[in-house]
Amino acid sequence: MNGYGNSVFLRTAWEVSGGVSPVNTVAPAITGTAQEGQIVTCSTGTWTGTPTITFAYQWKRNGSNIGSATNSTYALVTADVSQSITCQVTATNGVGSASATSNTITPIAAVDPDAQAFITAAAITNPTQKAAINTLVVDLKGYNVWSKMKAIYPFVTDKIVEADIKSQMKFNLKDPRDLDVAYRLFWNGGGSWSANGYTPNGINGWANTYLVSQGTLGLNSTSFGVYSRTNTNTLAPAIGNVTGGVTGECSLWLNFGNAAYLRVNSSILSNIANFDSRGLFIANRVNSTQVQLQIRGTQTTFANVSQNLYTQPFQLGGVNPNNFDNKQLAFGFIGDGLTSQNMTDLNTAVIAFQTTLSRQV
Amino acid sequence: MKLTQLKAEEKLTYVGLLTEVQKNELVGQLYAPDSYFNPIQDINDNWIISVEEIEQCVNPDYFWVKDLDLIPYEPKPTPPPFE
Repeated sequence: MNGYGNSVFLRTAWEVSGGVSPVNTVAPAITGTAQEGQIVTCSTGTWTGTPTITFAYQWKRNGSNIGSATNSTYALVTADVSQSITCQVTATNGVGSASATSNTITPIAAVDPDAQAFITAAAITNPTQKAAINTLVVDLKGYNVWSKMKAIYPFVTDKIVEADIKSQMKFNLKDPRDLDVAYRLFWNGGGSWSANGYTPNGINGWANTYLVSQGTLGLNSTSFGVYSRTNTNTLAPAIGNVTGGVTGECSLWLNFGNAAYLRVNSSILSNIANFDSRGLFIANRVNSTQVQLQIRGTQTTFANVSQNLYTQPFQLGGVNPNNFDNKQLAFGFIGDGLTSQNMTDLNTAVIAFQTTLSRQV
Repeated sequence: MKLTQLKAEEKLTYVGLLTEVQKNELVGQLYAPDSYFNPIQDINDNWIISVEEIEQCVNPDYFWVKDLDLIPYEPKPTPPPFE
């Protein structure tokens, strides 16, 4: 007999004879955002059985126990990204115990704050595109290229209607909250906008960055470039300070009679003959006497003479002044102070970005 | 030719013909959000805009462009890239 007048022996006998082991009727469920850094919660599910059931939790990664992850909540870590995460709930009462496993979640990587700002501003909801933007930002930061970028135009959209696509594609990845309106694209003339990028019509279309190199970029360190998806033979610059004619001091001409022409605050024309204009092209002033052109990761050095930077804004699909580029642009950037290694790394990051979006060439 | 008569494959070979007054009215004006008219001159110094600008114009102040006469586009000769 215990102090309450009950028989310990009899009570145990009742449990054995009248109790029921736990039986799961509704599986446990994981709730919360499946993303690195987020806390997710596992419910017990629904169980039957008497007497009263107590619960224990074990979180698992690809079926193996995660050490010390035995609470109903769990903070997702980097090792969980793209893995199968489940929670096993074990129910126990005086009669017995049983286990049930939750649904599976597959966490995505944490979103970089700069990537998230762009995704929010451009209202991008497509998971693949969000991941591509995030990876691009993470890669550029990892390569120490991000801080050298003044403007990045990724030309990403998840819209269908062309007018909506234009509104998404105007955002600058470096300044998506539009803190400096000079960095946002404005469209001039005609063109077409799709998931594959922006294509000026070749008649009168171009995109204006309103970013003036003089006062913004270094005299001997200006860099800019585009990723073109087409090999159109054109007679106008793909990017440059070219408003008003041919006097622009910073411009990159792709496939002008099978040549790439560039000048980065220089007075001497540089060119390479016979090439395919698809892929990432970078024009980069590396010092007081040299400009580098990078074509799909291959660099060439040209000697040039320094001049002042230009006072007109950068344009994509530029005008000269009566000829217009019609290449399909899937990436554009304006930077300052890139090294040769930065150019190579930028090419790698952009190719990965385009591959994720299935628009690599 | 008018816009309603244009075939899809002719969009990049025809352009809208403007008078000098009409050109001045369109310069610096939005035909859609974030999108500006860009009148240029063809080989004969006609002022023109593209069919895309006409089709995509949602600014009621300039709906009159949808009634412009369309002419074949003849670009100006290409100047050398740098001089």
